[in-house]
This record gives sequence, C-alpha cells and structure tokens, in this order.
Amino acid sequence: MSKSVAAIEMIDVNKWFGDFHVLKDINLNIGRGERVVICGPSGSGKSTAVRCINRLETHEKGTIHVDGMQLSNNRKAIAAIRNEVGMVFQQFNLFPHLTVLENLTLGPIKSRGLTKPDADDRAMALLERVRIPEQADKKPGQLSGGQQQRVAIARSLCMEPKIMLFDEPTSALDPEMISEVLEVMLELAEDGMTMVVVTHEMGFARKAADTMVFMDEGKIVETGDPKTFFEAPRTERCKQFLDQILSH
Amino acid sequence: MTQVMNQFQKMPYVLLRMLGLAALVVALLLFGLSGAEANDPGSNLEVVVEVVSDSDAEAKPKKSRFENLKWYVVSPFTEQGRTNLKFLIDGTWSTLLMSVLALIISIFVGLLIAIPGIAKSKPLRSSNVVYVEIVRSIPLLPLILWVYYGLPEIAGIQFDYFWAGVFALALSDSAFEAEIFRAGIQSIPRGQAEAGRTVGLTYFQTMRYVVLPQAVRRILPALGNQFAYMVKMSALVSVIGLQELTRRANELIVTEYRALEIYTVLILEYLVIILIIGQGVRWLERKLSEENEVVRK
Repeated sequence: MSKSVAAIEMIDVNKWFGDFHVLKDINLNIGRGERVVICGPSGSGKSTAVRCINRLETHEKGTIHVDGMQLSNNRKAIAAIRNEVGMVFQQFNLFPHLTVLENLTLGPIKSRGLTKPDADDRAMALLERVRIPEQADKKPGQLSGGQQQRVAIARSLCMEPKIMLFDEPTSALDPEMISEVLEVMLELAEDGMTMVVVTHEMGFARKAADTMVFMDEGKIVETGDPKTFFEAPRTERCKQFLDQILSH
Repeated sequence: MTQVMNQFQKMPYVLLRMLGLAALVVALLLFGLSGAEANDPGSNLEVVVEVVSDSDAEAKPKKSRFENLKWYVVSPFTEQGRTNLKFLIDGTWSTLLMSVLALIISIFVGLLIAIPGIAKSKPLRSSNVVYVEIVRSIPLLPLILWVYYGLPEIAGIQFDYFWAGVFALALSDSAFEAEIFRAGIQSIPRGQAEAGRTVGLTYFQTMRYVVLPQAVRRILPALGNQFAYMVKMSALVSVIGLQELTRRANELIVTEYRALEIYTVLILEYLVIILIIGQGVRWLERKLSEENEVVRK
C-alpha cells in the first residue's frame, strides 16, 4: 500500500435506520496522521458515521476504504480493518469482570497471538503512558470515570492501531476528569496518530485538529481548518451551533 | 478495608441462616420420630387389640391421630428402621447423578440453542423459537415414557432407565436453560460486545471471554433454580423403574404399608439435597461477585 492512500475514505455513504435517513451522502477523506474533529448537534449522525468506519454499523450505499481496504460484508476484510482501527467509546465499555491489565491484554493475546508476558509488558508500558500503572490489578469498577476512559484508550492502543476513533470520549465524565483524558488524547495527537474524534470539546479541537467537520441532519455541512472554522464559519447553521456551545 | 470487615460481619449471618434451616429439619424429624419409642412393634399391637376388643369406644379418651403413626419403620433407633432408611437413602446417588448429568447436558444444549436466538438473521432466530416453544410444551412425564417406551421403536436403541431419565430431563430442561441464557446474554450492554469486536476478537471469542462470563454471573440464581427443579422433577423417572429416591419410597411402602412416614422421609431427603444445592449456588454467587468487585485497598 502506497503512502498516498488515504487512511479513511468515505464516498457517498448513506445509511438508514428503518425509514430514518441517518447519513446522507457523506464524503470524507482523511489522510494518514490527520486529526479530524467531528461536531454537530445530537442526532446529526456523527457517531453513526464514525461507527461505520469499523463496521459497528453497516452502510447501505456508498463505499468506505480504510487503509486502502474496502469495507464490505467480507469478514476477513472487516477483521483486517478492525485490526488497524482502535475505538474509544462514550461509555468506556471496559470489561468489568477483568482486571485493568486483563482488559488491555485480552485482545492482543486472543487475536494477535501474543504470549502473556509480552502482552503484559506492552500493556504496562501503555498504562505508564496514560499514567495509571498502579491500577493494573484493579477492576474497572474501582476506578474513576477519567481513569476508566484512560484505560479504554490504553486498551485500544494495545492493539497497535494505525487509526483511532473517539466517540464522544468525554461526554460521560465529570467536568474535573475531562482534562486528564484530553491530555492523553493530545499526547496521542502529537505522536502523529490518525484520529477521528467526535466531541464537543472545542478547546481540544482548536489545539489538536487539522480538520473540523460539522454535521447536521445526517449531512456534512461544513469542513475546514480549525482557524477559519471557528473564526469565520461559512454556513449559518454552523455559526448558530458554535454560538450555542461557545457562549458559556 | 471496610469491605473486608463487612465480609466478616456477613459470615456469621450466613452460618446462622444455615443453622436455622438445619435446626428446622432436625425439629421436623424429631417431631416425627417422637412416636417411635412409644409405638414400638409390641405396644402397637396392644393398641390395635385394645381398640378392637373395646366395644364402648366413647367411654375411652379419644386417641390422638399421631399415636397411630408408626415412625419405627423409618426410625434410626430400630433395626428395621435403619434397614429401611438405608434402603431409602441409597437412592440419593441415582437421583443426584441423574440430575447433575441432565443439568450439564441441558446447560450445554441450552447455550447452543440460545446463541441463534440472539442472531441478526431471522431464520436463525426462528430456529431458536421453534425449539424452545416445542420442547417446553412437552410435559415431562409423557416425555420420559416416550423416550423409554417409544424411542426404541424408531431409533433402534434401548436406553436403560438411567439414561432414558437423563435424556428426557436434559431435553425438557434445555428449552428453559436456552431462555435463561438468552435473557442473560441480552442483559449485557451491547457496548461490551462492540468493545470486544474492536479489540480484534471474533464473534465466538467475544461471547466466550466478554459476554458469557458476565451473563453467567447474572443468571446464576436462575440456573440454581433449574437445578433444584431438576432434582425434584427427577422423581418422575421413578415411573419407568429407576431406583432413585421416589421409586425406593414407593417400593418400601408396598412392604411396610406406611405411606405418611415414608413419604415424609422422602420429602426430607429432597429438602436436604436442595438446601445443599441452594447453599452451593449462593456460595458460588458470592465468590464470583467478590471476584468482580475486588476489595479496595
């Protein structure tokens, strides 16, 4: 695969939930190492768009290429793409019956065939990186929300993905825990990870994003670099939205 | 630290509860056996003779009904009682082994049936519904008879009493287990399976390592119920001749003519077995939930 291939390429993607048209002709081209922040009002389809990228949702029309591979019903292709794509959820979705360390190593051991010592080493290094190595033997339920989300990020990274998807990673957190998670995400951005982030944290967007995407009613209404996006939004809808979330 | 203390504080309570149940059983037994000494075979005969010979019954104080009971037939203090009790209790092994084997098979089959029940594909889901609806509408007694007397005609194999019982119990219970598993699996938030898939696990790995371990903890009380139910339902296998607890009680009654005493012992036998199972399941539940929420240091 050549360098020129985009990390993620969505062409005319459409999706329906029954009669409800959630995604309308989504076109998005995300380069390697690019950080894209998607924002928009709830119900605008931003989460669904991101979930289509690793096939947690299927799209009915259009094509999606991830790392040069086309997403179809082909199970091997789906597995290959999921191997390249990490995902962080709003509700963390840690495995409550496993320790923090086991949460990180389950994927690498079972799907990558790593030995337990190798996986443990990799996991501990990542827990250091998200600054919670001392919690390795606890269960997720004993951690704070911010710690849980950092574990979730480390769990994704443990699969050594090329692309990371974040679906509202701070929306379920107490205000004082948001920054510890955003810090980890910023570091990740600095390391050159390809990231697609659905968030309302505009401070993070300003600092980390290469590209802003604004969605409304299933459509991409506006894309642009953060500077022009925040200072001179072209569409009225986007302006309205930014006024709303930046006013307080 | 405080949770460690809580664990200790809870322990005597559990012990107390067990002791209470045990005391109840013993009290019932003693109440029953209290007549054993008084009504030893000799004196009992006298009573009969008296009653028969006495024409003017009304002049005598009315005898309590309890005095007519012949507990000595199952008393551990008489030779005859001990022999009879041993005969009755020897059925425990059959009852337990049959129930445990049927339980293991039905859990396994139930799980296999539950998984298509949560599939996206409609034909798979329908196969689950058809199995569950048909199997759970077959009454157990006819099913046992059908397996033992009917099945050999078409299958060309003759189960012995024991395996016919295991087969019928397992088949009948598998539909219930399937529904329990389906409910348990569906109670686990969808995000868990999604997270499993995003860390590269296959569908079956996600089931095995993420969803089922959590589901089993939730359905443990229901599985315990089914086990207790299975032990009780295994009594029906007595009709095809397996010498489990109930069959032995019936056979003993044929020789001793004492239904109340022997059936009381029979019921107590089931009570004891199921109490033990119940405590076992509760212990397992506690162990698993401790594992789930390790004590905070």
